[in-house]
Order: sequence, then structure tokens, then C-alpha cells
Amino acid sequence: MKKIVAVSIAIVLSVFALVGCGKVEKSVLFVVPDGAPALSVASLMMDEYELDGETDYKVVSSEDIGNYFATKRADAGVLPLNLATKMTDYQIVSINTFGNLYIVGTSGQDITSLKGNTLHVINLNNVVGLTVRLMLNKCGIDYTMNDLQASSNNVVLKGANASDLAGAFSAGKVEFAVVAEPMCSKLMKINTNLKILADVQELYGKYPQSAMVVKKGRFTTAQINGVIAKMKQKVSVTDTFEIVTAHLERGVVSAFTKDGLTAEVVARCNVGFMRASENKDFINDYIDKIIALQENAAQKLTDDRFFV
Amino acid sequence: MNREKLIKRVRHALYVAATVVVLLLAWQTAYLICDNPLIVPSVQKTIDKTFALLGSAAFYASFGATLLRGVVSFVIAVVFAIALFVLSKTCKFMKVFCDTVVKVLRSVPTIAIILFILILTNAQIAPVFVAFLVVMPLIYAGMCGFSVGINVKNLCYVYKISRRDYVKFVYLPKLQKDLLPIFSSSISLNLKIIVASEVLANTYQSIGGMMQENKVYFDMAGLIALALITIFAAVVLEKIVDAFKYFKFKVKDKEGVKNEIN
Repeated sequence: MKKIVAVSIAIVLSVFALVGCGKVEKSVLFVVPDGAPALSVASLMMDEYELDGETDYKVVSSEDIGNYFATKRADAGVLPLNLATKMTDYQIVSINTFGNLYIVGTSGQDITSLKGNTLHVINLNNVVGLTVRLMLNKCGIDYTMNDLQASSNNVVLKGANASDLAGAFSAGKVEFAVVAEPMCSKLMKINTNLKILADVQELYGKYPQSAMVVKKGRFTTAQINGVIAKMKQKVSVTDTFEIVTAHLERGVVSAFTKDGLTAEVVARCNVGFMRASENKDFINDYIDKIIALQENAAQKLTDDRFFV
Repeated sequence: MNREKLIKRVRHALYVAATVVVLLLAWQTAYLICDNPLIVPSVQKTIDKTFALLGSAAFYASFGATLLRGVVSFVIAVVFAIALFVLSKTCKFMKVFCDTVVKVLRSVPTIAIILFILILTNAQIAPVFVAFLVVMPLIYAGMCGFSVGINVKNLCYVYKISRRDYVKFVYLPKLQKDLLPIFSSSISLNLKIIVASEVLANTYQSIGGMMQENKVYFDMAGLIALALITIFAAVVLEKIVDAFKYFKFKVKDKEGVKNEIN
């Protein structure tokens, strides 16, 4: 009897092992966070462009993107610039987005309306929050992240989850928030009394928001030049939605909706292309400002960190 | 101090030092095998980061705030536990009522408490409430398990010891001896719960908030440095509570000389 049980268990375990082994891994893993960065590589995903053999494109949650690079699972991808500077096993190829942050509110006229109020910021500890702080400094508006130091002359910055903001605005718990496109347009559709009070990019200026990186020594210059050429190809707005949705990681709720993704929204996402190795000063200048604000938020880039 | 005690203490210190060295070697080996400082930082980098933190004014503000929350929630938990314990002794119904309330509090998942209290309060206060709700039931349960012993009770009855003398010279010294270990382990648990709640609440100016920041920036050396400092703080708090065992209750004899009660 014992032998029968043992053999049965062994057979069951073998079946599981075989099923697990049956899944063939593609040779290149390319990850990108949902939202504007995904738009920047839509042309690559459209034709399942092969970087170096079969390539698996994954659109993942922005909270998880760093893990793929920290654990070196990803061969290439797009991530916030400050995190990209920390991934020393990767080289920066290009800057793909140049700021898509907007201050929205249920009341007020412009950025001065924020004084004496709380501004809810998505990704407060990352590029979004850091850029908002730089912007407020540039505009001469005092801010604090401590509720107890709130006054009529400063703005209280509070972290927020993008997924909770729609409900929070509807319930009247949030009056002002900084959100990124396309989430901004999505929120304004759900909460019709929301309006854009300020364009962070206009107030602060163009800045390198997300970067495309590749593993050091993984790809040749010819392969990367091929990727760059492909990335610059235009993709229609309708196709973009289908492409990004088709590559969403399981469990990730898309930042886009079919009706919501319009040419105007795509324009506000500020997607573009800038070769990193040819614009080191622009990138390093922004990184220096971030480091001055928060020492461990980013790392200075040496020449070997740029893909040439 | 006699020679035997000294040898024992030195041997204990050597064992502790040897354990620390073995753990550090294991850590450094893991760092070399993993070869990824974003996942396992080196011992050297972590130590450097620890000293950098200890030299930063911002760290002390956060550390002080977390410690204050820890002490406040612990004191409130002890006071409430004692109050509930005294209440439970008044009648049978109160005993059942208090036991039921405490059992419910012990069974509720901590994460649910944190999320619920965050809605009701703010990120500064929520960790205090959460730690109180987790630690108070433990202290109450420890007090309920306390007993002077039926033989001692009978002895006091036979020798007609007054209620006042019974509480002062029998009950309190026994309580001190039995409850101090519970308080000592509860205070370090309290600090851990405070830090965990601060991470979830992203409390400004707190150890938990700093840990969350370090995690977002993949600063593993910073994260581990903060964890080590928290462990050290928890050990110090335990030792402070343990030190109360050296406070001895005293009673005057017929000649008016004070003697310690053992």
C-alpha cells in the first residue's frame, strides 16, 4: 500500500514538473511600466520586434518595474530615470518620456490655489514626487510633508495611489492631486468637476522622466540602433491601445481606456526620443538636482553608464 | 564579584561575539554569492551606511519620533491591560466580557487593523493605536495567567495578614517577578509593530517612513542599517524594563530595620 501511495505521488509530481518545464522561455525579456512609457515602445511591441532573438514584451505595474531590473531578470526595458541610475548592470540608451504630470483640482484657478491645502502626489518618493518638489521650489512655493506643519502659506504633500484617487475625489476626500497622463484624463472623465490647474512641465521645464536601459554587454550597437529606428516609427492611437493591452502582465489594470486614449492625451504624455549618450549634460543636471533634494534617490552617472 | 561569576560572564560575552562573527561571515558570503548589491549589500557598505545615519540630524528626529510612539503606545497598553484586569476581577460577567474583548482583538489580523485605523486617524497617530491593539491583549493575557499560589493565600489567611499587607508584601513582589519578562518582550514587539505600521502608513519623520523610502530607492544597505538600529533599540528597551527587577520591595522588622522581600 505504501509503495502504491509513494509511486502515485511521484507520478503527480513528475506531471507538475513536466508541465512547468514545458513552458519555453523567450531569449530576451523587455519590461515597461504601464502608462506613458508603454506608449513610447508601442512600435516595438506592435511587431514583437526581436532585439536578439525572440523577445517577450511585458507591460507591468509601475510599483514592480524596479524589481525586474534589481534582480536582473529584464534584459532591457524602460523605467524611471532615478531608478535607472541605480541599476549599475544596465546602460542608459535613451530618454523616452519628458514629463506628463498635471496638477488637477476640484476648485482653484492655478498653482497658487494650492497654498494652505494638501496636494496628493502619486509616487511621492519617486520621479513624480521629486519633480513636483523641484517645481514648487522653482515657483517659490513652500511645501512640507508633515501634516502638523501645515499653514496657510505652504502646501502639504501627501502620497497617493493612482487607483484610489478616483474614489477619493468623488468622496470629497481629495481636493488637489498631481497625476500623470493618461491617468489624468481618465480621472477627469470619472470626476467631471475636475480640471487641470497647472502643467508641471510648463512650470518646471522639460526633464528626463523615464529612460530605456539595456543590460551591459548584452546587445551590440547594431541591435540597439535597430531598436531605436523601430521605436521612432509612428503607431496609430487605436492600435496603441490594443498593443499595450495585449502585453499587460496578469493582474495589472491598464492606465488606458479605449475611449480615453485620444491624440490629445497622447500629446500630453510627452513621449519622445533622446539619445542619452548625446545629451549627458541634460540628464546629469536633472540627476544632480534630484540628489540635492534626496541623496539616495539617484546616483551620479559615469560615462560607462551610457550606451554608445 | 566572585571568580566563577566573572568567568561565566566572560564566556557568555565570547559566545555572543562568536555568534555575531559567524552571522557576519554568512552575510558576506551571501553578498559574494548573490553578486548584486541591490539585493544583498556588503557588510562594509551597511556598516558605513549605519554610521552615516547615526551622524545625520534627520535620522535622530525620525528615530526619536518612532521611539516616542513606541513608549507612549506601550504605556497606554500597560495601563489599559491593568485596568481591564482589575475590572475582570470585580465579577464573573466582567471577567467573561473582558476575556471576549481581548480574544477578538488578538484574533483580528494586524494588517486589517492598520488599514482600518489609517482611515480613521492619520499617519502619525495610526501606528500608536495599532501597536496598542496588538500589545495590550498580550499583557492582559499574561496578567490573567498570574497567580500568587493557593498555599501562600491560605498561609496569609491563617496568619490573618491584612489585605493591605497582603497586596504590598505578597502580591506586588510576586507580580513584579512574573510580569517583568512579559513586559520586557512586549516592549520590543511593540516597537516592531510601530515600525511596521509606519512603513504601511508612510509616516513622515519615522523609522518606518525611512525604511519605505529606502525600499523605493533600492537602497538595501540603508534599509538593513535601519533594521539593525531598530533591533538595537528594542534590545535596549528590553534591558531597561528588565532593570526594574532590581527594585526590591522592603519591609521593616521589629527593630525598625528594612529587609528586602525575595
